Amino acid sequence: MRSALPAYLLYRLLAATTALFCTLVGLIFVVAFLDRALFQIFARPLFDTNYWGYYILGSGGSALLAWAGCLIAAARDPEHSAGVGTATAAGLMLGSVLRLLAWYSGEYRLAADQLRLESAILVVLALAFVWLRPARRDRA
Amino acid sequence: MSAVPARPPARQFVAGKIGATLLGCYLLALALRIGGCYQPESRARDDLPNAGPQMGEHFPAFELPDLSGTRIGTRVLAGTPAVLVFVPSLDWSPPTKARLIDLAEVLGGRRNVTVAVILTEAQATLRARAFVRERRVSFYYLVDTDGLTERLGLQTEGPDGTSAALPATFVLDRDGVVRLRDVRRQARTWLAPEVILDAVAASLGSPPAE
Repeated sequence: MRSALPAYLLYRLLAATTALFCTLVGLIFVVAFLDRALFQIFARPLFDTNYWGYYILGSGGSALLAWAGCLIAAARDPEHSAGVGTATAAGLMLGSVLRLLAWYSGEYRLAADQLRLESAILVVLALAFVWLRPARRDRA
Repeated sequence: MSAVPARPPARQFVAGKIGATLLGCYLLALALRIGGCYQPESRARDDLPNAGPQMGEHFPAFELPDLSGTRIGTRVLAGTPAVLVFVPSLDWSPPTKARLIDLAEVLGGRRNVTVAVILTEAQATLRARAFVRERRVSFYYLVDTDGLTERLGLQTEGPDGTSAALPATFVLDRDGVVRLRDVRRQARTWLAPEVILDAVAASLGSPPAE
């Protein structure tokens, strides 16, 4: 039991850190959409895209905030939210594959090595979620 | 009272972890190795020595329509150094897209250098036009409706059986004389744009203005 404790704490820390990251990125996406659609406070747009791109950013930001909420639940009670860890690992793997495909497409040539680095980081995070995740415990 | 579903055995749980780990290791290896899939090279290659004009020869005269239909020819290119870039496709060839983005990064904003990208008529597809439109790079994009690629011996067959150009680069000086040639069978590697820029600078006698 003692040997599982660091993994348990690490999992909670990992979930909380990922939740924080998702919250930050989600907020940026939502703020970018609101700025473009309504307020136009920033002198320069946050992202070089058109109004449909901002619409997608707003939707993506909302999804990230929801995901952050799920991760916070997992950080608070890992054994009863083990599925969040599995879903997060799957999402991170998918994100990694998409980045490799983006690299291969040639369209993102100027961000080439950044894409490879991001892909590797996402895989490592996904594996951490897979291996640190505590066994599921059913509610009584 | 509802029946509680049986828990999966621990062995299955570990098998899932091992499967995910194998997938993760594969993706990590891919992320490390994918950089070698295609990349620029700092040395010019000449895989087809008989194709196209040789160094020191005049590039044959041509006049081809660009994507909007305006005809551009050697007379328009004369007077400034020109870079002629033969590309297989801007549709189905990822390394060719990367090659052009590389080139645009180095030569895109420079005055006194004209860059003409030449693709065969079969490769002037909607997706190729979309790529050109989205990139907004100030190159000429010429469609070879005149058999220039074939006459130069640079014609090949694309994966869909249509005609395509072999990847080749020619740097011409003000008089249209070839100062650098790079002809390749495969698009996976391309001549680094810095080498092209050096050849342009050499033909100008000074670095080209930004």
